[in-house]
Amino acid sequence: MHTIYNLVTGPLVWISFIIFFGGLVGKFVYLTNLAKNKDPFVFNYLSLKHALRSIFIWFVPFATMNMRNNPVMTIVTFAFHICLILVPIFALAHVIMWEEAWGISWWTLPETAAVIMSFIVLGGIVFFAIRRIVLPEVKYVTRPQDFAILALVALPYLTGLLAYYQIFDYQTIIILHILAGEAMLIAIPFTWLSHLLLYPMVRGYVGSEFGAVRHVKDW
Amino acid sequence: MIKKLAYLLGMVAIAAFFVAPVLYSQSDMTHVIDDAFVSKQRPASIFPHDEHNILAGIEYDCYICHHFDGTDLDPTDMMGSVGIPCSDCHPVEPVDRDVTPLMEAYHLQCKGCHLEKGAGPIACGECHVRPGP
Repeated sequence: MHTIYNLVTGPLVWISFIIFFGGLVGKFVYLTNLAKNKDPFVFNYLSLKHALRSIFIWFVPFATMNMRNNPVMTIVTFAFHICLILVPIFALAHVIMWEEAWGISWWTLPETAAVIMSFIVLGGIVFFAIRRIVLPEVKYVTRPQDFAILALVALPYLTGLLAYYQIFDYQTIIILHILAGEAMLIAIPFTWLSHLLLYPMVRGYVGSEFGAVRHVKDW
Repeated sequence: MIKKLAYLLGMVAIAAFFVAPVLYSQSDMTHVIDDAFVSKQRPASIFPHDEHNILAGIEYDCYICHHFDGTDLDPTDMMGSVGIPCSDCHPVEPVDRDVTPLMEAYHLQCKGCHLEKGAGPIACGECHVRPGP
């Protein structure tokens, strides 16, 4: 237990975070250069004001026509993403580990809240999976790996709940939980999960073109 | 006379040495239950005091856990801070930034030593075990 625990909470955390941040920076540089060579007009159209305006408006629930036309999806996706991001950053046990390792500490979620939010994440994943099967327009653009990515995202939250409730062998589950979190971080730059970066990039460009060039709203 | 007295005192000292762990044994202690924690987020940590100390080979070395003066151990007094509640020196939310908060003190004390020795529980739920259904 000590050897594997030290491995997954030590070197593997470093590797995951380096690949996560390095991968995102690399992707940003690569795509920016690609656009410079293939579509240089992108940079002529860029307008910080309109880019930020578009990104901001798409962060507000029901602020866009698309969100109003799909109210269930809007509620699920906002709840899902908020919980997905907040739980790992503010879960009590996670903050304690940061404190032990670096002496840094911040506000933590009450345990019950973290549990409910993890269930919301899992519920969201079930919703997205069903949506990919049921809605023809989504099914058409769904590849098998999209379900694998959903499973990959579900795993840290599922094992987190199992570890919290101490269901199954605790030592196995906690190691799986840590590995699952690291796998998800590593996968972000190389899969559809990179919309973490691509979303603001694409939104920023579309917002610029619509706002500064066509003088229309993009929401 | 003086010889006799010294002999007697010597006997008392030796007896005290062997009796002390019995006197301060906590055979009924199974968990760390510290009432200084007002809002408990996790189940109390399991800690069978005597069993742990026999396994760890520190039955006579109270000061290792019941320490004084920060991390500066004082082995001249084997009893250390026995009898003084941890929270007297380590408040849950200390005003002085140099003072280790109570929860962190426990975590450092237990997990820190376990990691150092390569033995004993280290992951959250290994100590904070949920009572069975």
